[in-house]
Amino acid sequence: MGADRPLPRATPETREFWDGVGRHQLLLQRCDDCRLPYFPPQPTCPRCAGATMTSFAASGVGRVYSAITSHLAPPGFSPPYVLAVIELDEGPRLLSLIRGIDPDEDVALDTPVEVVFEEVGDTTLYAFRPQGPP
Amino acid sequence: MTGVAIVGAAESAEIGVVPTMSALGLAVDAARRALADCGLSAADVDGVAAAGLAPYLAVQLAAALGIEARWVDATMVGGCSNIVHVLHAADAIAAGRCSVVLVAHGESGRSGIGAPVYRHAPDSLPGQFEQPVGAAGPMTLLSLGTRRFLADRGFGAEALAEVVVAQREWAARNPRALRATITTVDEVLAAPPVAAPLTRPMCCVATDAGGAVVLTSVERAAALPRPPVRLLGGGSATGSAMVWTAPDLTSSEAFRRSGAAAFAEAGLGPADIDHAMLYDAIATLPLMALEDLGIVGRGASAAFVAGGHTRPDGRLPVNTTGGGLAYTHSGMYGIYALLESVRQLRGEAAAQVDGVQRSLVHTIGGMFHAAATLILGVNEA
Repeated sequence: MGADRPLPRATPETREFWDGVGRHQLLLQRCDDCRLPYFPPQPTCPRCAGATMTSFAASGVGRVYSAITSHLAPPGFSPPYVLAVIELDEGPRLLSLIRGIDPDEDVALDTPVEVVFEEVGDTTLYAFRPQGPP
Repeated sequence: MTGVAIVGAAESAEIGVVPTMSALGLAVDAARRALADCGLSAADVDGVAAAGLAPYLAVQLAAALGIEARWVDATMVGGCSNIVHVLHAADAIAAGRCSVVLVAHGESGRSGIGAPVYRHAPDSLPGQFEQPVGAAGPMTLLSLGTRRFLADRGFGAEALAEVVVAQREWAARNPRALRATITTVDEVLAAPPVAAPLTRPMCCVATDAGGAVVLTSVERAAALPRPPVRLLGGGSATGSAMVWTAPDLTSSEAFRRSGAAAFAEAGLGPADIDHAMLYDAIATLPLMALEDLGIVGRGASAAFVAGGHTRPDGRLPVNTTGGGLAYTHSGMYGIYALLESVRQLRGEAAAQVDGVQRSLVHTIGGMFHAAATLILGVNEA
């Protein structure tokens, strides 16, 4: 994609996550009190407001919960492309591009996907692609 | 809440493409017309509410009109903000904090005149977790749950098209509607995709427009020229931090909470409603609102719309201007939904429905970030 694709900037609360992405790890936080894994990283548990949490490396595997095919062209993106809500096996969901599919064909809901990492300049970003054969 | 009424209401003189006015100008124009509508002057107004991407719009509006407010609300939660303002104003009037409140909106959504440009900071939540992966504004975010909603309910994309077809029937009766042509399900499905499965007609228009209402106590309303439109019940709710963090994208917890509060306060149920404005930035939203408000059961929204029940001569007219999909939508749409409810209750709508006595306005803010619902009525004992 183009050089003008928007890039994330970490906050102190998300620095650990983005450092993990840089190491090709998808880190999730789990509340120390109620054990809920959640995303995005934040300083309190979104379920019990617990104040301490522990990061762990997610498997990187999930499924397509829902998706659209965008025919818009924001900076750095050429239409059509697939924007999907991915539900990770651990439970939390995130928003991601789907790579490795024909964007003119609908990606089936519940398609198993796996994380991939892509370098954009000095920044590493995550995306997902349909899971390959075992 | 039942002690407060809308006594003045107006849109800006022009809506659609208005190259002659800034966002503030549109708000001021609507405000002046709403004041004229109730025969009050700026000197009578002691409370003001407005919101937009510019943080001080309420103050700029008050200053432009010479209003010296002792109550101000600039709550900004997206398109439902003006409905939240009405709820807050009703409480303030009842508490005696102010007596006459102006709630106004103006937005140069198409022409971008005097309109701040919104950019997500790269370290904001959207800047980190949406913008880098291809989010491209409301049409690509609001729509994210649509395919799961359709699949879960067993609907095809025709369900979305039927919403458009029904609302064009209303738009065709409204000289101010931007998309006033009758259409068919096939035409809507064949239109260019925007965020598939949403095609262009399933996405709202982008216009320049303004709107305003004036509220006061029912006691004071009795001395004013227009028939008062009483606030019967209302509710507001927060939703999810980002649209995809909600546990279920096929049903909005914020819609349910906001709607339930409005019905509970009014002491009414869905069967008591004669008319509804259901915020329709995309065609999925009215289907979800019909279900989440309890107007129909889960999974029954598509058949309700396709069966003609929301069209002219249907048993629950919905979005009777044509809505955001066909009438006007400046970016934040709540005020325009409210204004049509007021017109229908007063008997002066372009596409007037016979005998409307209770109208429901249901609005969304942001990308399911918030919701606010209002039930209004006339001829209440």
